[in-house]
Amino acid sequence: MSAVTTADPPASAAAGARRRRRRGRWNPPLISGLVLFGLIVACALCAPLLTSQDPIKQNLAQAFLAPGAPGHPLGTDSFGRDVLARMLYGARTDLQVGVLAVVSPFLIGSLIGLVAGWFGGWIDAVIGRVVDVVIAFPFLVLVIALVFAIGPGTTSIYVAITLVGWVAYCRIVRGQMLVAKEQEYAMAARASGLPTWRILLRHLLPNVVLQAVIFSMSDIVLTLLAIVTLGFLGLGVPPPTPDWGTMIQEGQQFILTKWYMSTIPGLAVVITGLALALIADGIVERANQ
Amino acid sequence: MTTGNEILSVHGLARHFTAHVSVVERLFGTKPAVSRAVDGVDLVLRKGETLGLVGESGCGKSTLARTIVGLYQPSAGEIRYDGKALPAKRTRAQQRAIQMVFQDPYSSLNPRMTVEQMLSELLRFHNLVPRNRVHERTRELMHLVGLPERALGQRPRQFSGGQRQRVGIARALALEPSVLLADEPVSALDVSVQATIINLLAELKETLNLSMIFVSHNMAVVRQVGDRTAVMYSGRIVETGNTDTLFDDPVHPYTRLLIGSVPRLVTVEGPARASEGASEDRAAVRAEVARAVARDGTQACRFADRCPSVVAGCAVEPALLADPGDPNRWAACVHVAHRSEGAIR
Repeated sequence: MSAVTTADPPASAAAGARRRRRRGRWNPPLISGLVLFGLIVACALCAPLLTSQDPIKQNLAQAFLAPGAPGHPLGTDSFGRDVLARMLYGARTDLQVGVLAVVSPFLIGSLIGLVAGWFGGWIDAVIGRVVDVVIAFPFLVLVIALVFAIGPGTTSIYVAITLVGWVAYCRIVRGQMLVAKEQEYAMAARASGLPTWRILLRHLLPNVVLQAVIFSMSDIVLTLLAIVTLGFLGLGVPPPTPDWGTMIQEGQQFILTKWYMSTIPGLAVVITGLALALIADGIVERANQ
Repeated sequence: MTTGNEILSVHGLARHFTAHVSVVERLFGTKPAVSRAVDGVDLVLRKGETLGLVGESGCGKSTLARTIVGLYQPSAGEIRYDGKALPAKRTRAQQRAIQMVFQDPYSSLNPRMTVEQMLSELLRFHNLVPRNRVHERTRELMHLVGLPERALGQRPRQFSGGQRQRVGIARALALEPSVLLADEPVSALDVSVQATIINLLAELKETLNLSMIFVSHNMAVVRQVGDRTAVMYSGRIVETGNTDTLFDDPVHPYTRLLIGSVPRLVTVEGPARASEGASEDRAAVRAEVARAVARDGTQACRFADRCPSVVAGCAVEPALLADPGDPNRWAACVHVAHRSEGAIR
């Protein structure tokens, strides 16, 4: 190659770019979010090691103990069950339900949104109308109706939230897709003769899915709250199983005298939400590095 | 317009875009607005030549290029490659044969893929080299476009505009095309980098024996690269010819306007100024043309309402006519028929 054609100025200073990249890849919000979330997961997994109490065993003689009582570091609830044990085992229930109830709407909604945005036309019109119909009802009303129809239990919560929750991911990904498919790299992939499914999954999905991933982080918290509401109506996690939402709701009756009964599980929800929000922030920064 | 050594030709090619009209509007009888971006183009590309395609923004150059590459389906007409009309669904080999370098070096590269991923995907998918030689071939491609081998592991954001355009060229060349369509490949680049990319394309054309269509709105660039030049206006070719003849002796009033609009350091004095007094006359002629169009339902020459040499005959769209003295020379203007009598100049 001749000297003429190799004379472009180089990009930015390579060293500075590398430093920026390293900082972006493992940025503070991402690290702190992952550590915090890791701690919560660890607490859930190691629940039997962290407490010897049974989260379900009632002892009415020991009800309403304040935090700091001997043998009950976080006190007991109205049935005399150990709050610490219920918190730790509750994390198991909530994380499992929260994450599982977000994964399937995420996958289904993103795929449908990808297809709607790419093909447009009548496919987009049909999907768009279905999305409109689902969105026309308040989220909870539809979930409650569906859970009621299928019958209470964790499985029906997953099914109901999936059937209603996918529309948010569908809209997000479709919108991103409308922008991405007009980019010249999408045209270039088509001009290269690559098949549509390959362009969609390998070239466009990685560019459009980021917003959906970020939304899914806050969606986990929203789903936790939805499950709390379902529990309030007797359609949530069946009673003796410990979960934070039920604990908050039970403490509510005693909020004026025993404020800590709702506050402790409430804090757990807040911390989980914070961890997920930090992770979402970190993902954005990492993607924009 | 047919000669033996053509590699690509388009005949009566059109590409129309229809504005979206909802079902409800359609029920009320709203007709969708149709934009005729490319509207009856005839063009020939010969083996080993560079054809410059010029025209102002919005004249349909990019649409034409994209239709030829197969990104848009033609609304009418056909594209022939190597003597055979290309079907609506091209074979992999046909798709590979005509490749494109895109205009915007920033949006034309996938931000989430490294150069190696981009290139090796194409090499593997099209089975262009044995699997164990894919990496080697990507390195060769880097050499070909003048990028260092370490560029393979980098993502688009780590490159400058010129370097990105080299990656875009490597991507097109990975498919071993015989026709390369360069759609304004330098218009988004710094002037200092433009020349290096133009030189690279010219050099690659020679070494790889490519035929090239070079789309640009920049007359100076086209004059530099094109063996032949085609001037496009409002979805049609209005004049083609050997680049030197076309620039030295433009026939179509639009070509003259384009060449006259290239910024110069020296002020040109002369007949161009003398025509200013005639503007009322031209307005009268245009009104006459409009009346004739309304009366006879003809399609007027698309350039009539901007043309400095408009005459009553412009009410009928002129065909692309050959110059009897020069087989490469074609123009679509009512004045061309009278050209030998010196009516236009």
